[in-house]
Amino acid sequence: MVDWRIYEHPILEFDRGEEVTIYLDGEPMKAFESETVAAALYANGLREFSKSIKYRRPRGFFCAIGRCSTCMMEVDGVPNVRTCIVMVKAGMRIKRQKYLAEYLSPILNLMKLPPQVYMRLMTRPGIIYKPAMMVMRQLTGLGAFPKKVLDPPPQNQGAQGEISTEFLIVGGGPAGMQAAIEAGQRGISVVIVDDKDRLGGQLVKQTHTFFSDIKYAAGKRGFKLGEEMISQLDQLPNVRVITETSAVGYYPKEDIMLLKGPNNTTLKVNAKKYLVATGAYEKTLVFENNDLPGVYGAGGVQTLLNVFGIKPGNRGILLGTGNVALMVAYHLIQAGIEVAGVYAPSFRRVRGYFVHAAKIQRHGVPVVTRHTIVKALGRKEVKGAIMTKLNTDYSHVPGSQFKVDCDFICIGVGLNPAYDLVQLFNPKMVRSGVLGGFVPIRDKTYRFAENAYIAGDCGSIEEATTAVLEGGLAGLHVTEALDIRSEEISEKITEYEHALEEDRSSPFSAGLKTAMNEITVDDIMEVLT
Amino acid sequence: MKKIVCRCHDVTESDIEDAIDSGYDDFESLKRITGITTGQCQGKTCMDLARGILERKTGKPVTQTTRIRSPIDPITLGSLVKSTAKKK
Amino acid sequence: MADEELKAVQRGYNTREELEELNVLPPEEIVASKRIAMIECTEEIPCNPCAYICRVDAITKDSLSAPPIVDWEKCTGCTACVAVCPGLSVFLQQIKDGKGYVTLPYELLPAPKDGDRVELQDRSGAVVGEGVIVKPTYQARGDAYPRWVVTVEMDDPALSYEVRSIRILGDQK
Repeated sequence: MVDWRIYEHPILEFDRGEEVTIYLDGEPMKAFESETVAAALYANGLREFSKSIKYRRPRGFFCAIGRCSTCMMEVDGVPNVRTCIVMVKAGMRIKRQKYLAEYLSPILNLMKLPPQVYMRLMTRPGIIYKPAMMVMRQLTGLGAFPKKVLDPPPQNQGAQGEISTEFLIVGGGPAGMQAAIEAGQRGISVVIVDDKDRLGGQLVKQTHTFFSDIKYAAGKRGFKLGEEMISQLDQLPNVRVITETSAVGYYPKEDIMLLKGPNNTTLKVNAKKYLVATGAYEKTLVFENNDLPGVYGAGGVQTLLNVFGIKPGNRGILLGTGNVALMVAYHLIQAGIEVAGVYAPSFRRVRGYFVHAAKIQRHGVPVVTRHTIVKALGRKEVKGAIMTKLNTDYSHVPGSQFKVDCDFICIGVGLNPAYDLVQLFNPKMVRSGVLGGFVPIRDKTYRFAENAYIAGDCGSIEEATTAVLEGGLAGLHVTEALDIRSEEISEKITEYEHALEEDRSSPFSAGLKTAMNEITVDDIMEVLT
Repeated sequence: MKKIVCRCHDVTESDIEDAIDSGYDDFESLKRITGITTGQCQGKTCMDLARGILERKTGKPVTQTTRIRSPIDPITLGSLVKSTAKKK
Repeated sequence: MADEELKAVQRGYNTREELEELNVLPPEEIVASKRIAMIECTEEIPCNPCAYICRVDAITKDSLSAPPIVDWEKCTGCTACVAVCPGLSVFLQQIKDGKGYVTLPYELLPAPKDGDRVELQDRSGAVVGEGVIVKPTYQARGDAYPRWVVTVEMDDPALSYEVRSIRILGDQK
């Protein structure tokens, strides 16, 4: 039987919990309690999770964090479950959503309908709408409704709650946690929510040691830093941690943040101050077959490797030479997976830290700048990649194409600040290439709307260590805004600001510092009105 | 061989280029005609890619994101209704 | 632009000549006299665990971002900095009794054992020869999760200027 799990790792020990059996289309499979359904299926060799809505293209595991919706399957009778965020339970029955469309889609594709027509066919007249919808639903592979009411009904279905607190933090990564620690230690009642089953954000998958000042996080491995912060939070009774819960919306009129928990529960939170620390989304690339199972985001690969201990493949390539791509390459080497190369169109230099590039090259993994991918090969899953050399104007050098054998392609071309929750507060957004994308104008206290603050990657793409410092600062400023002031707090603020200044003192951060100054104003309310 | 921009609705690079060529050359109308950013993921992958294509084709920088409204994360209608229902 | 020579920052690793120019490698007479640290960290990045951990103050950084400078006189070759460097860019070198010794950080499997034969890789990853592991130690310093610090012995002392990585072949003495 195929098993893609890693049982020996130089840094990590995987505590997988109890072994259970799940069934895919009736076939038993080995899974562990600590795995998500998607991870367990991947470990058993499943690559195609669903078919795409229009062209019926195979789709697989991609983002691993419940964003991309390509891993939707029928779980215990419920259609369209995102398998990458549902945990395994013993005896779970999982089905691939294969319906009529399997046979009809080639005909529909021949009709060459533009996508918007395809989605809105047969909505009129009303009388044919209902039967037509049943057919359309099957055509698009969106699953079938359960035949009868599920028995027993899922627990707590739709239960709701309402709480109010002084300080609500959305996002339990390094920035959110540090803000909770700083505000919590000073007596503020804090609620921190995260959509994963544990706090830590992306720290949980970072097995490398951090740079920065030894006073803060340097020399620590990311996941260790996360564990330390979680245990610090555990000691604060006035900090309430809510996991597996995501922010669905913010309604300014009611001043309510709507949260969604497991089993369709909702929670309405009214807070005096809000902190948005939602991190970032991965950027991706457009190339032929870029949706083939086997083309993954670097974050997804890191999750598979370092959280679940599952190999993404036997031999892969990385796209991008930023720190994320270089680090993931190193993580792959550590897990004993062959890395055929790290490719990127960069011309001037390797984008990430030089030492990271040097570290993987001495293990025999080439970092190849001035190259890009043309297409991914394979029909059902990645079998290889066609690469090309680039001219300085980014056009392809004719005749320079070559094939690389690999069974996965990992895209690590950078991050976009998570722009959505921020915008619900009606801030003034600006676009900044250096900071990664759209970010709100804020003042020196990290406030970007009347009662909302921002910290970490969703405000500017930087390192985890700077996110910690920004989070700490935002937490302290919120404390002050809630009228708890002391000399100790202002001293701590100065200390954090100094550390942040030092962290940004390298030539790497020169552009970033200018950009930060441009989006930081003295009086935020003046900008907003 | 397709270059997929929007994974949720299977919108390809050429779909977007065709739409821009037919005059939908600002982000809001591009969104409405192709369906990008309106899928399950609400634009987390396609928005950036589509913006890149739009900027390349028109030569004008896109300085606005699309309008974001709650809910930003999929939620069942049932629980949304329940959470907003007036208490008796 | 065809195949013009790539600069170090485009290549992603340094050559020995570049490092000599930057004054990172210790002079030959010191390498012949004792085990000495060299830090192949030539870029300004905000980081300081090496300077913090050094018990004899042999490593100095002018600011958080300045590249570290090693005082060849003070360095005792204690390996503390090898174990702590987040960039895995500290190495120790020694030439003794006609043999070359390189000490390097190691975070892969299999776990190194005394006497294991290894393939020696240079900065670009090319295999340049074979060597033998002497006295690997498992170290945890400065809150870093432990990592192996491995010393390899090689017959050709000139290789010790090049070897920066190993691939363990197994223990066949």
